[in-house]
Amino acid sequence: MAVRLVRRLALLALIWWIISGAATAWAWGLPVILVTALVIPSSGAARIRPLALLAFLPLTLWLALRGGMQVATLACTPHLDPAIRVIDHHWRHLPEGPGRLFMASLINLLPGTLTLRLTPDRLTVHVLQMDANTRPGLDRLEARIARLFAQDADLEKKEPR
Amino acid sequence: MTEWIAGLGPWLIAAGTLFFFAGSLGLIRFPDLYARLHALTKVDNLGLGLICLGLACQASGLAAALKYLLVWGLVLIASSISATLIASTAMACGLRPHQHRPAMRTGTTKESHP
Repeated sequence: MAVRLVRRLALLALIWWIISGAATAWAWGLPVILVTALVIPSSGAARIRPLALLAFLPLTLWLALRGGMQVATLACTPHLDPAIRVIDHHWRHLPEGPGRLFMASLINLLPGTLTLRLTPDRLTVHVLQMDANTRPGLDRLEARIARLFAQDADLEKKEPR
Repeated sequence: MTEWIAGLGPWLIAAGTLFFFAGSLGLIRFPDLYARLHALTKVDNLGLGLICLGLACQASGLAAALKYLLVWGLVLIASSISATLIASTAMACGLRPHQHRPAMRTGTTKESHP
């Protein structure tokens, strides 16, 4: 709890520093940061492991870059005939909770995928350019996000060893 | 070093503009709402990212540079969530996604028809 509060305070202070852009605004900033840190409800994002997030960010940026390039190339192709599919991705690694919401939002930014529907057993995904790598890619992404959120199920699996 | 980074700025902004152009082209050319959302969430976000990065390279200080990146981050979150909301609402309203004819391509995987 205390760790979470400190993390929240540090994050809010960083955001305040970025937004205010000057050292003079802290007289207003400190009370606002304190009150905000105590008042805002805890979200699923608080369960993300910070170090895992640092390792995760470059991959996300790289995938987002590839996604943008792919769709941009497709948009500029003279004879537009994308292999559009709607597929179901069944949950394997992520239990119900913030991890699934995170993945549903994240795949909108990744190469050729768009979340259509999020249900307890599957994720309906609109794929712009279906290929052999689409499904394994979604599985890999889900496994990575499960590690990012350090789900209890994963920890239980590791403990008996 | 600082001059080198500031010199990089205009090139990043130019690249971002190109991506915005491609995204707008996709918005016009793609067959249906769902495919157009791809153009908006991916290409335009990449374009905005490059423009923000280019502006950050030319910013007066670290806080100002981070402010541009914060703008990008917030737009990423907002556009990703709103894309899913628009797509799921369209599905709920019965708008069927345009799909590639399976006969045209071999090796199709199991697909669902909502």
